[in-house]
Amino acid sequence: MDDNMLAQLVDLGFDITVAQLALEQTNGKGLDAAIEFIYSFSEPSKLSSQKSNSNVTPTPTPPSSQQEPSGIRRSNSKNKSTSFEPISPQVTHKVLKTSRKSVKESVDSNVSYEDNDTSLEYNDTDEDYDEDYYQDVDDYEFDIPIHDALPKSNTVIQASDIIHTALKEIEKISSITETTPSAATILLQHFQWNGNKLLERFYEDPERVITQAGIKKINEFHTGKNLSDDCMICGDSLDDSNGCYLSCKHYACKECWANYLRIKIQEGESIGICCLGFKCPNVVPDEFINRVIPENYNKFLERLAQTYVEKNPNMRWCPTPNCGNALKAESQAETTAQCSCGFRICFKCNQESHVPADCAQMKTWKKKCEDDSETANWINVNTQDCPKCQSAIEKNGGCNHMTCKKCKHEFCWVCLGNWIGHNKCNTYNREENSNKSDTKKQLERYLFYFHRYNTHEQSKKFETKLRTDAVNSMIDFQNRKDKRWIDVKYIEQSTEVLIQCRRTLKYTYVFGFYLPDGPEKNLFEYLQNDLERTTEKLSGLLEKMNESNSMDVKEITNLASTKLHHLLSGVEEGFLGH
Amino acid sequence: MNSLPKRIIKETQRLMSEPAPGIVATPATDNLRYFKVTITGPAESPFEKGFFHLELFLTDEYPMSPPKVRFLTKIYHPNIDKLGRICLDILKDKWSPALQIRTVLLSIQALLSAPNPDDPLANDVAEHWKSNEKDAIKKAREWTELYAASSE
Repeated sequence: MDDNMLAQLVDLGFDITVAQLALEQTNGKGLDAAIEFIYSFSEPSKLSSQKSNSNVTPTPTPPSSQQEPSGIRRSNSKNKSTSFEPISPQVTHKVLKTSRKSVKESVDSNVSYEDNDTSLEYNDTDEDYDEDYYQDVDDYEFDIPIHDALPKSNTVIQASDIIHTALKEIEKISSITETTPSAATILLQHFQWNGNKLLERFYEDPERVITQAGIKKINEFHTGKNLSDDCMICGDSLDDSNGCYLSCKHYACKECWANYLRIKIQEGESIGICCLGFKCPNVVPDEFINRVIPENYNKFLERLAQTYVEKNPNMRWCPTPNCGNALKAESQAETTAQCSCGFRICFKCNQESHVPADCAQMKTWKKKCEDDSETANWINVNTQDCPKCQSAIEKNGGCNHMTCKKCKHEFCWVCLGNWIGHNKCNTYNREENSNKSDTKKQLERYLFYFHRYNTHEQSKKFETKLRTDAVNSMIDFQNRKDKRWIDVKYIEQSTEVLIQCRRTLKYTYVFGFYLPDGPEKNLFEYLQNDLERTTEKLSGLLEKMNESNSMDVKEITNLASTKLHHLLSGVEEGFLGH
Repeated sequence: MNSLPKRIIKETQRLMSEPAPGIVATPATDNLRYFKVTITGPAESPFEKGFFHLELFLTDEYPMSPPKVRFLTKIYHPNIDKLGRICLDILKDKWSPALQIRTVLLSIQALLSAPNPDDPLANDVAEHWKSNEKDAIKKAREWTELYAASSE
């Protein structure tokens, strides 16, 4: 029994010594108690509050209410380590290691006083606790880890870290190549911030690399000593306190240099500003700029971050307003990346990720949408009439299973067909339209696809709301049912899967629109329909979230995830195996 | 009005005391940043014997920003348009604060000697220059006689 529990704990991602310790400390009271024990260390506040409030129900447990959404999201990756299909083993491994470490560390540091606390806790608890605990054990035995259909092999670089990363890179190159930081910056830009390639080339032929990068000459700068000349700009006499010049000996006073550099920066020149002498090729070193106009330093860093991301072919800014994060793909082969704010970007066209449709299709589609928008607009009004009682209905949630408030008629928002017995509404019915004119048929065909595209687009607009709802219900569950966050984080994961499905479905209609008729299309539409139905089911389940349907949610989430994966791999590899 | 920077005073003094050959630049009495300029057409150019009047204005940013220069006399030249605006790199992105009024005016004089139809401002003139240089030069000479004969 003990060994079995130990194995399960290790499976959940805990360090084996921690697991052993936990089992010992809880005297074999069960898996849940052991986990509770471990978590009580990492969240000490929870323990103390439980002690004082254990008989007063239901009080909000501090860890859950204090938990910021970002904190929850971060933990998302932790669970991935226990999923069935670790897609990127390297990353998974790393994450797993750190999570184990943190648990272990907290155990080590708190072990002496926690002994007493845990015994106290058990004395205080009543039978309710035991009931809960058995319920939870059941959960664990059949627990379904949620897996993710879309691999995330990119790194998100937080806005504050970008400059730090860039500066570190510059420092490294500067010390290896024995150049000034400014020269290193220009070299790095020339090699699109690919340090390894830079060094490789540099060792082959340093001279050539330097000329190719356009480093004309980067100079040491001097401040005046015994200058006899006047400032060549303003004509004031120079003395030890205000004279500055580069090795090219274009003498000017500090104030003129400052004015010159300010104007150059204002004009948008970033890295590699030349000396103020006429046609003087000497590049003013960044150190000099920062010395002369120290107030510019922040702007300088901003520019550096900007070029660092923009010149790097593996990096993109997250397009979400005010996000400021940068996304880095592992390699240039990567086509999509997901930001921690939830935005998924296509690396090729910088738009929202649009699998399975490709960039060219999206371009023609968007153009078409613009061209036909007048027609599309009046047809795609935001309301639809109930097919039974004709009341106007506005959709305010993501699910396409509509129930009319007036007549209780259940129908599908997309095809307006009866929901009962409804299974297939993603195929364009050509026969119905056989006697219409060609243009009309073309338009209708387009509108058919556009309508579906738009419906998923509309549903996706509730994304943010969905995410907030997920976090709220997670907190709510934790408060009401005294569940741990590990028990409820599936809600967030399911929400993410739902969003992925909706996004993909939206673009499947673009893909489908351009897919020629044939067996391939039939298969595609079958998979699309399959995914659509599962997605609707998941959407419905998530909307009326409660404790009892957690198993369903997990199951459907995995089903949706698998179907999404099938569809995408089908598109990628060709449906008929050629 | 702001007091005139030392540099502008120095430059003006030098322009007056040792003027460049073929160039006369006089500051206006009411605005010492505004100069009336006359450039004599360089010898062996279609602008020979012409007196070309220009205006030159030093902005508050001078010498960090280039002076604003414009031809007032009509001139048939591929790099000067009918409003008198001049296409010259040092008046734009190649400006350096180390340049002066004198160097700018000398550059404009040199531009009259060597028109550059490959980097045109007045497209039709440049086209004319490229397709039939002889005819274009003839027309430039006519314009010089017609519009730039007077030194006033």
